[in-house]
Amino acid sequence: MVAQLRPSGLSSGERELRTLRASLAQNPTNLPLATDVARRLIQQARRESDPRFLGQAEVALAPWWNQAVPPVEALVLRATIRQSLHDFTTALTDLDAALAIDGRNLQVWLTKFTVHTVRGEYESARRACVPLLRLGDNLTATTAAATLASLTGDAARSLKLLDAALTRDAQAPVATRVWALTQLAETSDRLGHTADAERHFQAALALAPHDPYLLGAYADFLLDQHRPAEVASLLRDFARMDGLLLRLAEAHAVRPAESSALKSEVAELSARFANARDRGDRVHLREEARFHLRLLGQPTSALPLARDNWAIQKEPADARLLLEAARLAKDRPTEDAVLAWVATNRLEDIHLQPRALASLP
Amino acid sequence: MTFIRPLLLCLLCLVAFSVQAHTASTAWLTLSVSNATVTGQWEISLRDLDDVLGLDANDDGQLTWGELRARHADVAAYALKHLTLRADGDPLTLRVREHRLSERGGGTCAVLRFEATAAAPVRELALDYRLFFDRDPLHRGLVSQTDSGHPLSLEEKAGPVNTSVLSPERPTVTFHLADHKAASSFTRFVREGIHHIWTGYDHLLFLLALLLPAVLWRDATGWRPQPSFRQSLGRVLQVVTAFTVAHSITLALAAFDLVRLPSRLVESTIAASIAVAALANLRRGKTGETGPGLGHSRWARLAGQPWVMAFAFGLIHGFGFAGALSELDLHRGALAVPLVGFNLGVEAGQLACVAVFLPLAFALRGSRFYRFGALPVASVGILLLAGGWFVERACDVKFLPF
Repeated sequence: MVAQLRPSGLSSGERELRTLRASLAQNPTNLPLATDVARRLIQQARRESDPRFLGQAEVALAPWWNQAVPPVEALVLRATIRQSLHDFTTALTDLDAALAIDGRNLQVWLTKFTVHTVRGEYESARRACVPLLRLGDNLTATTAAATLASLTGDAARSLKLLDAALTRDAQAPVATRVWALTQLAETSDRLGHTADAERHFQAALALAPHDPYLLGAYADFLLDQHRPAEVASLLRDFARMDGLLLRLAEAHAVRPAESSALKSEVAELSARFANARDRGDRVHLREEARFHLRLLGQPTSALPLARDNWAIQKEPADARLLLEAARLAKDRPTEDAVLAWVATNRLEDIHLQPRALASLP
Repeated sequence: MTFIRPLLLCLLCLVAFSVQAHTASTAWLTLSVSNATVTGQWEISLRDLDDVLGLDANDDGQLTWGELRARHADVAAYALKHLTLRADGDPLTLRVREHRLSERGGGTCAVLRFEATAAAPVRELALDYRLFFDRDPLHRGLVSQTDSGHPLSLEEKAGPVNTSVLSPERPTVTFHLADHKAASSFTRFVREGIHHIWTGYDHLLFLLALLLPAVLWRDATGWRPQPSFRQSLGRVLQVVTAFTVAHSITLALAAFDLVRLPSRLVESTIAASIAVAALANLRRGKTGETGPGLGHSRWARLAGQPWVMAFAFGLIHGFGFAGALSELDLHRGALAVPLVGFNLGVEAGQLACVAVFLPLAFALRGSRFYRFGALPVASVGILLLAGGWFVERACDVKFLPF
């Protein structure tokens, strides 16, 4: 064998997608077919954590891609692709255009909610959440509301809400349950409820063992719990994904026996970040900042990256990264600015507290 | 409720939870030009090639050597169909010489090594790159051009001097080889010139010996401070200009190989010139000179006109510069750019020294230290050092530490 092109043989879904793409090539202006293909490709991009499928999805939508106001179905997908490439501003423009046409589109409200939440725009996220309660199913609406609550000073109530909704809506689709369980796990972790977090992560992984986001979140949890050996076995087969390779290397960094693996992983990550920089990509900032901070041990070079990343997205992990970089680089004003932001939004997170910061190397 | 479920299944899949990006589709193209020959190395992800060509015949996710080798011709044809190279406007015919593999960007790449021959030495290489843009607009071609002048080896990573990112919005790039070469050489030779004047103390010592008395003049009672800065500056400019004109003439003559002197003679004479300039300062202090430029003895007349000495010995120093220039590997026939660059570098280094020396000397000129300490003591020091150099260079021995 000279190359592993896919982790396994062609799945039935991939075979179907291949057929659909072929018929779309014959009939490129068939909107239902195009949106079906684009949706499947976006899902694959997420599953494989691979942007090349986003590019292919853009091609599927080519007849509508450059229109000012394409049909709603195409608009939503265009916004989703743009959001995935961290082009949040134009994604929001698309979403607002879609809402002007169809104000009752659940997908649009949910995407809008997610973009505002990632950006730390909680007031706008709240406004997008209200229609979800009216239009969406119980678990989707509750998870959205609970996500927001967990980030804005109501974490304990968020846990109760989610627990109750998961029990009540036991037949909800797997994707929704994984989302709810991941939120539960992450919120429990931020509150320091380690055993609960572990339990929810395990439940989510049982439903979605290959979800890159979930694997990354659980690996972060394990790293914080000083369980690097489990990270190494969890992520062994996922080194092709940059974010997961980063965590694998972090796990190896605290295990002296793995120093040769670590050396090649650090070299590989350096090469991938250099490649992203050469390309002019901006989606790697969080991972690159973390790479400088934790693997290269260079807080002064991590700080500007963490700051640029913070200008784009403001999830708890982004706050933590900037705070830690600022603390280690002895940049007091930045540290104070992040803490002020945390206080204003009433974000509850033990990793952002003085005790956690005091234990930094 | 049941009809809404399938919709919701995809609903969440579309909400990207902060994608932890994988390396996006990228191909690396490195071009090297040597006269009329263009060689290229193109690394293209096998996953991308598989998507368009279906290389994995049995769809098991694993590409075997057999599967790939059976499709080498298709890979080459597909890639080359999406790349146009023009040498000075004429399209080049690309021939793939070799297929190899590399690990890059988090995956395995097919490496195509190709070659093309233009009708004449290439001065402008234009590229039109369209690979995968119709399949994935996020694909980028990272194109580097090296001027190593020899064909690339696969391992060779160092030396790209010119990199461009090609995208659907900007699929073309033009490399101006002549310009580029001239520019990079030019700055390089300016740097070499500065480096030479700063590290070859002999030229600076010669100038220093000539410039030390520029802020003074002598009457019946001895050295007096020159009252006007303007006159001091004038004398300094005279000396520096004479030195520059003289060494530029001989540098050019030597660089174009019109006059050739043995290096030992040149270097010894340079040492002697420094000694003579220093000696002139001391002699001038002993003769009954009545003013600048009005000496009576042969020594004094010579020393009274430092620019004459600067010009005469500058001719010899020019041959010294030519020696240094010849040590930098130069391509025959393209000497003008290095010559001008190197000479400008020498002048820049020289002027920087003068800019420091003159204000300092002018400020100190009235002090006893300058008139009775700096001038004679420094001159004696320079004389001794230059004498030592002369002996070393003339007799080809080495006893001084610098």
